[in-house]
Amino acid sequence: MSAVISARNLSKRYANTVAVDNVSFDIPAGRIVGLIGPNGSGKTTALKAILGLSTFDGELNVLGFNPQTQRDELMKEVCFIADVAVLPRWIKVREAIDFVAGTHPKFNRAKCEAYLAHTKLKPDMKVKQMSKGMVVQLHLALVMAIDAKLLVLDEPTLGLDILYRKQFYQNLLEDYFDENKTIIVTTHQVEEIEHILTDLMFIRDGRIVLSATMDEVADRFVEVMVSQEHYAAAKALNPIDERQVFGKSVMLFDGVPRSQLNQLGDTRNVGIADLFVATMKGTYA
Amino acid sequence: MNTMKWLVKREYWENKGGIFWAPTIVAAAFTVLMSIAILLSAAGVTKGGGMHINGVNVHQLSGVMTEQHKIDAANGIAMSYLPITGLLLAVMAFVVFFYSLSSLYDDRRDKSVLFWKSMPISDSQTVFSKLFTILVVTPLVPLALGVVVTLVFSLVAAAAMLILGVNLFGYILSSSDLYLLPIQLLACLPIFIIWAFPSVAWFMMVSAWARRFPILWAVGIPVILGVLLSISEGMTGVGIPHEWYWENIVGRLFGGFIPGTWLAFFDSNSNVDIEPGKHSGLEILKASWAILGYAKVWIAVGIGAAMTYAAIRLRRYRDEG
Repeated sequence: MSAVISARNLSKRYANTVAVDNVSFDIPAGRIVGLIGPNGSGKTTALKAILGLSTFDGELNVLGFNPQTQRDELMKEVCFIADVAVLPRWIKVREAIDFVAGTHPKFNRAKCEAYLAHTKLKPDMKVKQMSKGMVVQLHLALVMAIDAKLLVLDEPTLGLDILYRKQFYQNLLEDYFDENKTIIVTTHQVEEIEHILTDLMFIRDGRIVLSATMDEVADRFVEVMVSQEHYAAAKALNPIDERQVFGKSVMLFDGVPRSQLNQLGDTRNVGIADLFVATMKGTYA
Repeated sequence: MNTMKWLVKREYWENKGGIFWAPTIVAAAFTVLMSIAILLSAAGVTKGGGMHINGVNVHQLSGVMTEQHKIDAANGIAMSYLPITGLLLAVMAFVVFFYSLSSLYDDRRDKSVLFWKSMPISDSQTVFSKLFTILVVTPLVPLALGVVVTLVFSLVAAAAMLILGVNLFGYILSSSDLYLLPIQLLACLPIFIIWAFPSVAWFMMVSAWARRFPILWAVGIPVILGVLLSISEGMTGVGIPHEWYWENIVGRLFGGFIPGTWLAFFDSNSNVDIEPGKHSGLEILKASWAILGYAKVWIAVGIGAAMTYAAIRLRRYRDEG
């Protein structure tokens, strides 16, 4: 299976900053990739390059198209929510559905209406009358009803309550996703998407600092609750992070065999949030 | 072509206030005020006041009005389509002005451009749908409303005359202007499209380019350039054609929004007679289409096409980051 997205030496420079710095990666079909990074790390810039919304240096191939020169063709296969859900304030629910149904050949009206049935949105409601969360609900319903090969979600659940967020990710996994589709999602609520991701990509200062499948992450990173007598031995294995919980040290190891770590204390898989914090230490320093 | 249909609908939804409601409210207000005025003065006449229709004093009419007077009065009433539609077209000129300015700017400001850009729609389709709505859909509304208001006005005027003892209904209905003027003005629509296109294209290009305050750039750049030219000429006297600039660039740019200004821009058209019963509509129509013979008109269209192309490119590659 060839890559859905393949980037070679992708860079994006603004007047006095480098937002994306010479990045290369491949994303195959049938993956749900979490693109995680602190504010200003270049996530949105990278996504905008992939979506043909901004210029870039280097090579980028998305579904066989160059997003810079073949954006019109690309958009038939791609759907996105870029940079927080934004819908025009004047549009009514009914108009938004009619418009997408009229212009997008892969839009499924029944599916969209089914999603909306779980919300308080009414056909004659205008976006400007909606709460922030309702706007997101409408936008997600529209996007989820489009049968796109690549779906890019940049902070899709911002402003939604936890009930709806859980529901959304559930729908995304059960109704939307299949082996022919690829989803890239960014969010600050890392814990909530942990269980649906197949791949993880950490980005920091415009560079990819970690790119791995979730299985690889589980193999590579192990958290150990180190008992007091093994503290020095554990320390010698160079943990990448250490914190105190109830007087015990919890250490995070990168690439140390689990069998070896089992002798130091209780081991467990690391959560993305903890891994993220450990990896991004010093970002704002 | 289905996409285009929905894009134009989209434009209409967003700009319904300017395209439909603004001229409709003006038309309704005009109709009500005018009807009240006519009926009041007709009632006043019976108490010894006076009323003029097209210069004919209609005081104590039944006896003094000759056949010719009746025909003239009816022709005058039937011709009211011109001033009535003129008023509505003036409203439309403002709408077109502000619509063009916001067309490619508003959705960038509120970031909803990202939603539109997530649909499989090319930027040229977007720009053309906006051009089409501004230049074709928007003018059709005042032209159609003018017909309705003219009919109401004619009925009210005829009713007022009937109060005074003169029956003009048949005369008004047999005045050819009542039927021909709407068609003749509609036949001038292509000229308005050609005339307004460069002005609209300039505004849309600025609208696609400006990060803030498109109105300041769209109006400011040509005006400040003109002031600079005039000052330079005043100080040096080397013969900078600043007067030519003011008339053919600034005047033409803003005149482009106002239907009919083309008649003032070409000398041979200055003799259009607008008089009741004299086929004024035909004269306007002929003089309007005559401007197609001037190279200036086509040069402006060429510049408009270049600016439209620039607007599409800006829409495509302007980085909203």
